[in-house]
Order: sequence, then structure tokens, then C-alpha cells
Amino acid sequence: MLTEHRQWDPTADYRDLEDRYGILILRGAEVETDYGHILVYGVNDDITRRFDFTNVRLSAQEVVSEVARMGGVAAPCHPGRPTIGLCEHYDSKPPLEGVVAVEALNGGSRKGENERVQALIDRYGYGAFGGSDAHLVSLIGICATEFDDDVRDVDGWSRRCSSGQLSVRWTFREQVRAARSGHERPDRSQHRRQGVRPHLAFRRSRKSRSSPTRRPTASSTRSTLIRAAARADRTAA
Amino acid sequence: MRSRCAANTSCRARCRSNLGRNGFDAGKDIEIGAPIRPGDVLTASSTVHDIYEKTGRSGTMTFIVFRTDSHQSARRDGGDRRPEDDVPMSAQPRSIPSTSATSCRRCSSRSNGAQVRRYALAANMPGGRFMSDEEAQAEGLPGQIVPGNLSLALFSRLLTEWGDGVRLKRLSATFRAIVRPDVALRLSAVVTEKHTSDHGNFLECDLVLENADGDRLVTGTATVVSAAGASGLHLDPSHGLLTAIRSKSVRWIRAIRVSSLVATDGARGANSRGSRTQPRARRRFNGACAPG
Repeated sequence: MLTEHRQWDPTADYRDLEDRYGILILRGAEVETDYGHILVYGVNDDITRRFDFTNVRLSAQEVVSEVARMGGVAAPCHPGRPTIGLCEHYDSKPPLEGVVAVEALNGGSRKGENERVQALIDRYGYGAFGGSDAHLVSLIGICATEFDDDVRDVDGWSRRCSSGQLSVRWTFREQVRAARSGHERPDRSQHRRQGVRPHLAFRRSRKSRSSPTRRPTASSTRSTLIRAAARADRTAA
Repeated sequence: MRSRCAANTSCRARCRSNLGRNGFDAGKDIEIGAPIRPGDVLTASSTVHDIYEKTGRSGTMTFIVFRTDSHQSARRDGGDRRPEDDVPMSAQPRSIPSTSATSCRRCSSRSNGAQVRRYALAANMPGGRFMSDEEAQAEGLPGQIVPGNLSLALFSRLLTEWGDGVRLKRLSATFRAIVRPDVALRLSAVVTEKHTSDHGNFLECDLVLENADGDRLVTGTATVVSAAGASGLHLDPSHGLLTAIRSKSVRWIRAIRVSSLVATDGARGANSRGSRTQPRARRRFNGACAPG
């Protein structure tokens, strides 16, 4: 899942890359609201007409409700992060209605931020998914979402996200890194024994897309991202 | 040298007055055409490329993207540009091995407050936040901070000492959080792509500077070029990049002494005229400056 920050390019087409590398690439967007950052899956023309993704002061309740009405899913990301996470806003504002899932594990979180999310999930019964939040190619796949069956399109992702039947995990590389720095992370061997297939979620920064230098170009960056995702997928499998 | 951002004095003053108390260097994206030598006279032109908002751990921030082009207009001694001033790239690029193995280089660093102060003065960055805890706290910061340019210098050294004949072609970094003196830092560079052209063998790298907790304080990317025939980082398939790196991995894991990175007179211009993207926090600084 590739989610751009504050933007949506309707002309982007990754089918050639999917065919070349044999992986599924789904797209979404990350928008900024008064309850923090929210990932939007199943973006369509109705949603892009309704919301200006570059506006950093969108109403979270409107995003959650309207996106669902228009056929998509809006899910808060990195809820444990200060200022831009759901947890901090829930301390001072009423909970959002219609939230079905939150990003339980985020690859860019600092110490303690992911741990705050579990209490949120327990209290409100949200579904959970994971995302690498990889602003660098080498960080793709450090956090993943596992499904009980194959996801073939963004609607399938949205349905499973809505049902809450997801599990999240750190991938092997992140466990090594965590062990080195003294953090404890789940053991992926349990998931391997279950025979489930991981699907990777990652994001690319606005900065990398708008870089004025010759490298990386948008196309080469995407190509690199896809290749790295394919490698990570093979490793995880 | 082409870089994103740089501003004239009046523009910066207007930005500071309109956008809040604290402005920070949020990152740089520098493309290096040729090395800057002592005695070079540089001419730079700068334009505001973009202004946008985003929210992060520090609240809502306004990012001003400046784009600067620096050109050598003359030499201080009146001489012409010397042949050795131009970057000699590979004449005949070698083939790239087909292996998809990712290579990695790491080192650690720790700078104390006195070293940071000396660096800031040498780099013509006399801001109080780089001088002492007291002056930094007067600006609302928790204490003395390390200049972003010093983080860039650490990345630069990490890459250019990778092997003989390795040159930096492009360096881009995002300063996601403040870096404090007397904190152990880990730097890592991961090769994500290898390609070749008429100008040499190129490696694309991801860069991460993190603290002991694994928090990523600075992230970036870089392009390094290795001339054909250079030892240590050649892409000859008979040796292989990964093999070359593994053979030297022990030597690379060592501390970098920040005191040795203090700029000399000739390098001062390069350090003070990089590109800059400045976020202006709209509320009082709360200890972190990190986009989401």
C-alpha cells in the first residue's frame, strides 16, 4: 500500500510494475486533520472533489464519515504520536464516530508511541493494521499487516480493514534492530507457522517526489520502491 | 552546486516576523557539480520555490523551500579554474553486478558542546542555539543543539570514506528532530540501487542518523560516484560490491571525531550556502521538530 502525503495523483498507474515484479500495489493517501493524520483508502473522484488533500486542517469526523459514505475507508495512523496522533486528541476531545481501524504499529514511531495504541484499541475495539511509514526505500517492510487470505484490490483491503480481522507484526529486519537497541518486538516465527501472507504497507514522502534534482525521478523512485518491496516480500515469505 | 533553498536577508526577516519565533533548518537537498576549492569566489542566486504547511510532532509548521544555484565566478587569486578543479569521472564505466544484495555501512559519533560551538563558529553559523545551553534556552529550546550542517558533514564523511575514489554527487537530508551534543549517535548508509553511466558508477544510498533508542533524528538519501579503477568501492562483478564492503566492515565501525570536521577558510562558503527548508513552528517549541 503506497500512501502519498497530502496528495493524490489520479494518473499514476503501477500495473506495469505489478506485472514485472509480481506484486500487488495498492494506493491511498494520508491527510491531516484536527485529530491528527488519517489514511484514506479507496480514494475516488467523489472523495477528491469533496476534500482538499493539501488542507492540513480538515475535519476528522467529516473525513471518516464522508469517506465511508463514498465507498472508502479512513483510518487514523500513528495514533500514539504526540500532536498528530489520535490518543492525544482523545484526551481532550470526544472520540470520533465511525472509526473501524487504526494503525497499531508504525515503523516511524519513537519509543513508547506504539505502546500507547494498544490501550486505545482495547477501549474502543478498533481493528489494527501495520505500516512501515517508510520515507526511505531501505525502510520498506519493517512493519506489515497480515491477512488470513489474499487481498486482490483496494476494495478487498478496505473490507478487511473494516472487518477488523487483521494482525500486525514487525518484520525480521526490525526485530534485529530492536534487539540491538533493547526493545522487545513480537516473534515473527509464530506468524510464519500460521502460513499467512504479509502485505506491505509503506509511504513515500512529498519531499522525494518533488525533488528538483535529476535523481531520483518519480518513475525511478517508484521502480526502486517496488523492487525493494518485492525483495522484502520474498524475504518475509 | 545546485541546491534547494537559500534566502536573502530581507526575505528571511519577513519570514521570521510573520511565521513565529522559532525557525529551523528542516533539511537540504544538494547536488554537487564540482568541488569548491579554497580561493574560489562563488556567486549564488536564490528563489523561493514553494511554501506549504504540514503538521508534525511539534504542531503546525510552515515550510519555505528555497532553491539556490551557486556558480564559481572567479578565483580569489585571479587565476583560471584549474583542471584538477573539475571532477574526473570514470572514462569507461564498468558493468554492474546482477546481485540484488543490499550493502550497508555504519559508524557511530558523539560530539560535545565545545566541539559543536567550534564547528558553528567555523561554519559561520553563530546562532545562540549552537553556542551554549543558556543561549539556546533563551530561544525556548531545551539546550544547545547540533547544527543541521554538522549532521550533513557526518553523512558526507560516512560516504566519502567508504572507499578510495568515492565522491559525493548528491546529498539530501531531512532533519526530523533536534540533535543534542553529548548524545551517542549511530549513522548508517544502505545501498539501495546501483547504476552506471558515461560519468561513472553510481550508488544510491539511504542515510539514517539515530540515537541509542533507535529514534531517527535525521534521514536522507545520497548519490555517490566511484571512478573506474578506484579501489575499495568498485563495481567489478569479479569482486562484487558486497564482498568489498564486507572485507572492510570492521575498519569502518569506528567513531568519528567531530573536531576534525571543522571547516577551513575555503570551505566556509560551501557550509553556509546550502539549500534550506525552514519550518516555522507556530507555537512554542516543545522539544522536538519532527514532521509526521
